[in-house]
Amino acid sequence: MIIDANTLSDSTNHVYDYCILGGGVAGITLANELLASGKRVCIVEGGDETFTMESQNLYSPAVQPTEYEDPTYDRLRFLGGSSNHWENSTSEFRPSDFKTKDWIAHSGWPISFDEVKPFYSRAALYCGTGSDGYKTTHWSKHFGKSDIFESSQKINANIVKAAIPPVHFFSKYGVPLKESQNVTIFKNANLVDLSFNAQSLTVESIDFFNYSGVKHTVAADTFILCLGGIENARYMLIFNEKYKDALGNKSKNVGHYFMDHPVLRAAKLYPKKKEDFALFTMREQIDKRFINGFIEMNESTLSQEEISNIRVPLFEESNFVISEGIESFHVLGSAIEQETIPDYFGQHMINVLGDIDMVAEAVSRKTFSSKLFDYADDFGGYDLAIMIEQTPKYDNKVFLSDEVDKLGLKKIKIEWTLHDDDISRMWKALDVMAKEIGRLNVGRLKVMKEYEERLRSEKLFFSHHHMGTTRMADNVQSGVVDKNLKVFNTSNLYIAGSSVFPTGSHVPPTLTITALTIKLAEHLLTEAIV
Amino acid sequence: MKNDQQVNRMRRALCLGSLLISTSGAAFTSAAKQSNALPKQAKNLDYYQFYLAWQQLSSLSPQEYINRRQYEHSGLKSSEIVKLDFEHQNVVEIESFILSKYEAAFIAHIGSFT
Ligand SMILES: Cc1cc2nc3c(=O)[nH]c(=O)nc-3n(C[C@H](O)[C@H](O)[C@H](O)COP(=O)(O)OP(=O)(O)OC[C@H]3O[C@@H](n4cnc5c(N)ncnc54)[C@H](O)[C@@H]3O)c2cc1C
Repeated sequence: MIIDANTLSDSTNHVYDYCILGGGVAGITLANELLASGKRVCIVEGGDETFTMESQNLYSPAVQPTEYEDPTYDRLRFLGGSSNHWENSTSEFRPSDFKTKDWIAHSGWPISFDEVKPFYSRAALYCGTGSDGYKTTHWSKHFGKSDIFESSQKINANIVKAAIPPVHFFSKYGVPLKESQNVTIFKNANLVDLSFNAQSLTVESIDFFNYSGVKHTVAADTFILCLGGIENARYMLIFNEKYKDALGNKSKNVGHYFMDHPVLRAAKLYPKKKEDFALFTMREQIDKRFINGFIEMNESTLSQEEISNIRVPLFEESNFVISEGIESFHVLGSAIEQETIPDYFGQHMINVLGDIDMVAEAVSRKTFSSKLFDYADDFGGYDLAIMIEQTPKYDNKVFLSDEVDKLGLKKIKIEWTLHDDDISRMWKALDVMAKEIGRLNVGRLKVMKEYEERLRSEKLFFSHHHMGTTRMADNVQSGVVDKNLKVFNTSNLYIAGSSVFPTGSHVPPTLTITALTIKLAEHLLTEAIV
Repeated sequence: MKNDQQVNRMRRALCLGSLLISTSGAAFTSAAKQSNALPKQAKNLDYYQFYLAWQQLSSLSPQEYINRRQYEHSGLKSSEIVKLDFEHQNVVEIESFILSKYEAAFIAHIGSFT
């Protein structure tokens, strides 16, 4: 059943077996997995069934991050969470993603790939990408597109799948929950407080507010935070202020190691024959799914070269689209409008003058609506949008400010930067890739090291994958939750979502979030029997 | 056809003119601030630039380098020498392209006639 908390006038106490806090990807998956058990489950969701401004505004930070994007609107705060506007790109993590890498501080998961693997195919069903796996050999054969890197020891082809249209988790999986007798969804119910018994180490209840400020209390045997990669940290910080770091924060890890998958446009690939790269440009559709290939580093290369992995999809571009001159022309144009001088002004001028034909083409297309140079539309190589694995850094963090939101809860601040070592690992990976593509004689890579200065500005894009802020570890010294996702020093508080990822791989997180959530459901139900 | 080309030439001049007028003010103001020359980044590559870049890389002329490699690897096809280069990290970076040194010498050699 679904209850609109805004219609509840009196303060009431509710009792459940499982209380899921947040009804996004993790929350909806978990409720579905617990549904058949017959246990009493509730979801406490701050938003409604569709977008509302009053809910969304609660995502605004105290101040805009200087190097990171605005977290107010990139996420969505209503049932289904950010899946309401995700792209649905999914790939499995690699075994190496879970291993400790000597050359990357704070790397290594307390669980192995083999422990997550059994849950991937069910997770893929939730994500709408089918149970037929992500094996490159299978898909290359299926579509008759050869894998030119099959024999390479340095680089691989990997597969990305997405559902068409993207799966909105609440729209797709909400109906059985709404119709169920043992599940209650409270919408417009904002988590605001938690009561922790420091003797028994149990969370006894949580409080939520509706938008008129009416408070309700939910008692449950088990609580699971599923608020997303930033809010999981925010609420853990709020509760830890109240309970003096008792909730898994003895070593002050909550909120730290915040990671995304930065996307850097810093290289181009010029193929010898375009057909060689068909696996990466096919964008095939099958049973309402989109399937494509991307290039990544071979797992053994990572340790040989001491690098992190990169995910490199290929975008076929014309000379016009990849024109640096046009890009710089726009930067200069908007700077002039604002009567400012942009950063790297000299470089932009050089770009414009060095690429004057394409700039003239752009002006002509805009002013006269006609083309100037035919070669503008010719194939200009593949633009590489390189998604990098960001390494966990203590100083990349989500933390509390003194400013409060409408519910009286402290707003967040974000400090995030792209560190030099991540950039140099990307250059190294591209260097390996360039040499291998050259050796195989299938093309040449252009690696634009001269962009280095601009990799933290115009050449940087975010993936909105918020990871690492309540990391999973073997002990409270190194993390916040244990390998079963239980918060250290508590007996019944769990966290689901990418905030538990100690490292983030180079592929999107949601398939793995879903797999870990299914694993968590299995663990909770087994524990209940014991 | 000829007419079209003329129109295009005029349009190009017009676009260029408007561009230069709009940017020259800002260029002038910033000139004082921009004391350091930024790395050169030309888009429409010209083989001559490869030749210039080659001169920074090697004391041998492209022709001498090509001759030497052909002598060293007599019996191998050019494509095999290129492959060897990539295998043995004998690569150079010219205008951001990662190239086998042997193929870079070829391009520079063509550029040397410009
Ligand atoms: C534009 C965009 C594109 C993306 N594309 C991809 C992609 O292609 N592939 C991929 O793998 N990932 C993608 N992602 C990331 C993906 O959306 C997230 O990984 C996923 O949604 C995380 O699931 P979650 O359940 O942890 O958090 P969310 O889905 O964000 O759910 C959190 C839930 O908690 C609720 N909530 C928040 N605060 C409170 C509170 N105080 N009380 C009660 N409820 C609360 C929210 O309303 C929401 O329903 C994308 C994200 C964005 C923003």
